[in-house]
Amino acid sequence: VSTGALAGVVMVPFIGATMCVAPAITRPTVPFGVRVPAERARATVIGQQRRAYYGRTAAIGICCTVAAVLLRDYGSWWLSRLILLLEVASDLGCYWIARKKITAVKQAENWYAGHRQVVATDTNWRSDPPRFPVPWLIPALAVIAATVTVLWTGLMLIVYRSRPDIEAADAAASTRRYRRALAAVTRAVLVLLALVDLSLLLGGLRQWQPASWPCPPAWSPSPPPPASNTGHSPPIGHRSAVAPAPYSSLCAVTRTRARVLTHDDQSARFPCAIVAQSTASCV
Amino acid sequence: MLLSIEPDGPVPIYQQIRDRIVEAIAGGRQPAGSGLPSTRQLAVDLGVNFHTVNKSYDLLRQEGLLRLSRKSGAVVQRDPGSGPPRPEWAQDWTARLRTLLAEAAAQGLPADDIIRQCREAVAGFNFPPAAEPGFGTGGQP
Repeated sequence: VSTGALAGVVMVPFIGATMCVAPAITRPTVPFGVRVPAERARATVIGQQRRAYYGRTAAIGICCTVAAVLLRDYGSWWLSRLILLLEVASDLGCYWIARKKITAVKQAENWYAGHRQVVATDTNWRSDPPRFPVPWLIPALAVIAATVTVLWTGLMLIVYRSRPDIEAADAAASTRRYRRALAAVTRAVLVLLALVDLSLLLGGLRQWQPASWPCPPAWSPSPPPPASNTGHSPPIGHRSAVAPAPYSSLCAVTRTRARVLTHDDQSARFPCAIVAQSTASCV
Repeated sequence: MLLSIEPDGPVPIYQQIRDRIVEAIAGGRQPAGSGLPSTRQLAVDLGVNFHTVNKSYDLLRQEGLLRLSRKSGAVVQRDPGSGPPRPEWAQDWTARLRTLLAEAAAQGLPADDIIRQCREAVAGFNFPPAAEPGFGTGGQP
C-alpha cells in the first residue's frame, strides 16, 4: 500500500466524521448558517434537517471509506484524492439542502416578525486591535528551523552516498563534472539553509533581548582540528571561536557534532563547517 | 466602542451610525484624539455599503466632531472637555431641541417627565469636573 493510498484511507473517514459532526458544534441560533430567533432554535424543521444531515453524511462517509479501503491497491495516486473530493462535495451538498429547507420555512413563517434585528460591532477591534503574540511563535519557528536543517542535511548525505550520474561515453570528464556539481550544489544548499536559520534566529533575538549578555569566563577557543583532517574542511574551531559569548555552550556542542562528521566523512569531503554553522544557528 | 444599528429600523443607517458615534463621544467612550475604524472596515463589520459609512463620517466632519485625513484616518476632534461650541451651531441645536421637546409636549408628556428624562440623559454624559451640569437645580429647565 502506497503512502498516498494509506493517507487517503485515513483521511476519508476523518473528513467524513468531521463533516458529519460539524453542525453539532455550531451555535443553536445559527443552524446550517441560517440565523434564527432563540425561541425557534428547537423548531421541528431544524431537528428534521439535522437528523437528515447526520444520516446522509454518515452514509456518504461509510461508502467513501469502504471505497477507499477496497480500492487502495488499485488506480493511481489520485484515486484516494478523488474519493475524498467526492465525499467533501457530497457533504457540502447535504449541508446546502438542509440550509435551503430551513431558510424556506423561516421565510414562509416569518420567524423574525415582531423582532428587532440589530447589527453590532466593536470599533476598538479595528482602531486598537489585540497584538499578535509574536514571542510565542519563536519556539515553533525554532522547531521548524531545526527540522528543516536535519532533513536537508540527511537528504544531502544520502545524495552524497548515492550512485553518481556518469556518462559511459566520457566517464572521466562526467565524473569530474559530477563531483564539481555535487560539491557546488551541496555548499549552496547548506549556505542557503544557514541563512534561513540565521534569519529565524535573528528574528527570534529581536523579540528576546536579555538585560545583559552573560560572558562565561572559562570559555576558550576550541582545540586545533585533528591531524587526519585533509584540509578540505575549514578549521572548525576557528569558526566557533569567533562566535559571540552567549553561544559558547552552543558552539561546544557544534564542535563535537562537526568533528564527528569530519571523522566520518573525510573521504566524501562533506562541507562540515557549513553544517556546523547551520546547526549552530538553528539550535 | 460597541456600535449597533438596526438595518430594518425607520431611521436611515447613516444617521444611526452618526448618532451612535455622537453618543459615544458624549459618554466618554470615544474621547478626543481617539481613532475610529476606516470607512471600509466599518462598512464590512456592519455589513452595510461603504458609501453609507462615508456619509456618516462626512456628516460628523461637517459638525466638527471628526477629523478625516489620509494619514491618520478618522479621529475624534471634540468631546465634552473641548470647550464651548461655535455660536451658530448652538443656535441650530437650540432650535432642534425646541422641536424635540415640543413633540413630547404635543404628545401629552408632562413637563416633570420631560425634565426628568432630560436629567437622566445628561447624567449619562461624561462632562469634565469644571463643567458639571446644574441642570434643574434652580428650578429652570
